[in-house]
Amino acid sequence: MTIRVLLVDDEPLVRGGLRAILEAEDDLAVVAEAGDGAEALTQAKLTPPDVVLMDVRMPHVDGIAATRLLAELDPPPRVIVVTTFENDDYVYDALVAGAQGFLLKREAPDQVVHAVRTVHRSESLLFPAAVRALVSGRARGRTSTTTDPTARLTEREQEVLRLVAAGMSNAEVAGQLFLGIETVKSHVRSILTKLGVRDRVQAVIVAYESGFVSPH
Amino acid sequence: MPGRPTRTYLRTVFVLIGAALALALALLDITLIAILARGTPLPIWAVSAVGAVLVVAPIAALGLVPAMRTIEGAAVQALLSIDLPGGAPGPAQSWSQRRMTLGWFTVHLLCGAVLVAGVMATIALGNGWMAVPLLAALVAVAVGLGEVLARLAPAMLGPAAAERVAMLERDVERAVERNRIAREIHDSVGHALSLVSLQAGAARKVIGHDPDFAVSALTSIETAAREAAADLDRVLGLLREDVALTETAPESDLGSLEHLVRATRAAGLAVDHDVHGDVTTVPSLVSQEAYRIVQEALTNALKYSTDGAARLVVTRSDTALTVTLVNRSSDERSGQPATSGRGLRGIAERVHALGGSYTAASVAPDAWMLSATLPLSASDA
Repeated sequence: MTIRVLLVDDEPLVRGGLRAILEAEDDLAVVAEAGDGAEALTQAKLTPPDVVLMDVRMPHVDGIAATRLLAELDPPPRVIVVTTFENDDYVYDALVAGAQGFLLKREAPDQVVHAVRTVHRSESLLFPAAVRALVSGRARGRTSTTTDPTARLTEREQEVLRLVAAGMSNAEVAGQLFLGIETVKSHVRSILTKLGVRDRVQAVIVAYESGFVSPH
Repeated sequence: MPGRPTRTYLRTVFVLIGAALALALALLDITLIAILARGTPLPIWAVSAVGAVLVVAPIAALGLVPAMRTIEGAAVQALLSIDLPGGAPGPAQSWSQRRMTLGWFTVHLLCGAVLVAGVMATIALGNGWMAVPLLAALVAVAVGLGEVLARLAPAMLGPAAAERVAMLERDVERAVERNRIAREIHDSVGHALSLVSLQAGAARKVIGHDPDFAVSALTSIETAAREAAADLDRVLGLLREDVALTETAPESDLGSLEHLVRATRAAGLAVDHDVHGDVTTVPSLVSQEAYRIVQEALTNALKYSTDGAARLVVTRSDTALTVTLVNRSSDERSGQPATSGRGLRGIAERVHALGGSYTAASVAPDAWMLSATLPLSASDA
C-alpha cells in the first residue's frame, strides 16, 4: 500500500527536495504540493493524503492554522510539522493544533522517510528531546489552576504515560515494562479517554502542562 | 598598573603638585592683600572681606574652566593610578560638572596646602634630630593625602549619575542590537543551511536514477550557499562597525513599506510616496536596512515637518537602492539634526558599514532632505 503525501511549503526548493527524497521510495508517493495553508486545505480535499509535511511559517494561512483546519477533515490526515529551527515556538502551537510530530528540514533523507512511515503507522510520535524542552518551557507558563487530569490515571497508566512522554513507541514501552504490546495499546487508549484527548501527542502535552512530567 | 611602591610615589607626586599650586596661589593672595592693606585707609573688616574674595576668586577662575576637568582627569589617571569610570574625562560640559571639577580642584589644593603647612612646621621646629621624626610624619601625611585623593577622584571626576545612566543605556542598546544581528544571522544562514542539507540529501539519494534532479539540486545548493555567505559578510560587517541601533522590529523589510506609510499617515504625516523598480527582490539585509531608514526618516519628518507633509521616493536600480525623503522645515531648522538623533546616527553608521552613502541636510531655506544609497551586492561594499 502506498502512503500518499501532501507537501506544504512556500518554498519550491524545499518541496522539490522533499519530493525527490520521498518519491525515491516505492511505498511513498507525493500526491500534491501546496504553497500555503489555504492551498493545503484545497489540495487535501481534492486528493486526500495520508500524511502532510507542513511548513510552519508561511504567508497568508500559516502551518498552525492549516493544521487546525486539516484536523477537522474526515478522515483527518496525519500532520508532520517541518521546521528550520528546533526551538521554534510555533512548533509547540502546531502540536497543540493537532500535528502528530515534527521534523527538521536539515534531517537526513532516511529520517524524513522514517518519519512519514512512523506517523502513518500511528505508532509513535516524533518527539526529540529539544521539543520536549520546548513543550515544557511553554507549558510552565500555562499550567492551569484546574485539577490535575493525570490524577485520574492508574499507577500503571501513569508509568506508561511517563514513557510515552519520553518519546517511546508502544513496542519500546512494552519492552521497558515487560508487558505485551496489546496491553500497552489498551493502556494508551484508556489514558486518552481519561485525559479527554484525541491522540498521544495531546496526551504528552497534557502531561507536560500539568507538571506530571518535567523535562529534566 | 604600576606596583605598590611606584603607585604610592606617584600619588605623593600628585599631592606635591597640589602643594605647588597652593603655594603659588598663596603668594598671589599675599601680594594682593599686602598691596590692598598698604594703599587704602579701609577698615580691617573690609580688607578681610576683599581679601577673602581675592583668595576665592583665582581658585574659582581656574576650577570652573571646562578644560580643568581634562587636565585634572589626565593627572588623576596618570599619577593616582586609578581608572575613572567611563574613561578619561573630557572638558566639563555642564555647570554641575564644572562645579564638581571646582570642588575637586579645591580639595586638591587643600591637600597641597596641608603639605605646605607641614613643610613649614618642619622647617620651624625641626632642629637637629627632631627633624627626622617630623620628616617621617611629613612623608606619612603626603602618602595619606594621596590615598584620600585616590578615593575621592572617581566620585568627583567620574561621570555623574545621569551620565552613568546614559552609558548603561548605550550598553543595553548595543546588546539589543547585537542580539538583533545574531537573530538575523541565525534566521538567514540557518534557513540557507537547512535548504542546502535538504537538497544535498535529496541529490545523494536520487543521483543514480535522476541525474537531472541532482544537477538542479547542486545549482540550488550553490546559490543558497553563496547568498548565505554574502549575508554573513554584510552582517559581520555590521558587527565590526559596532553599530548603534534603532528600535525597529527585526523582520520588517521593504515588503512592509506600504504598511509603514499607512501607519505614518495615521500618525498625522501626509506622506506622498513613489517606488521605482522592483524592491521585492532586493537582498533581505539591504531590504531590512532600507526599511529601517525609511522608518527613521518618517519619524524624523513627523517631528520636524512644518506643514505636516513629506515626500518619500524609493528607487531600485541595477546596482543600488536609494531612499530619499524631503520635508518642509523651519528656516533655522532648529532641532532637525543632521546626525545627532540616535536613529539618524545609527542610519549613517550602518549605511557606511554596508558600503553605501548617506546625507541629511537642508537643501533650501525651508526644505530638508535625507538621502541614503545602499549597494545591492556585497562586492561593492
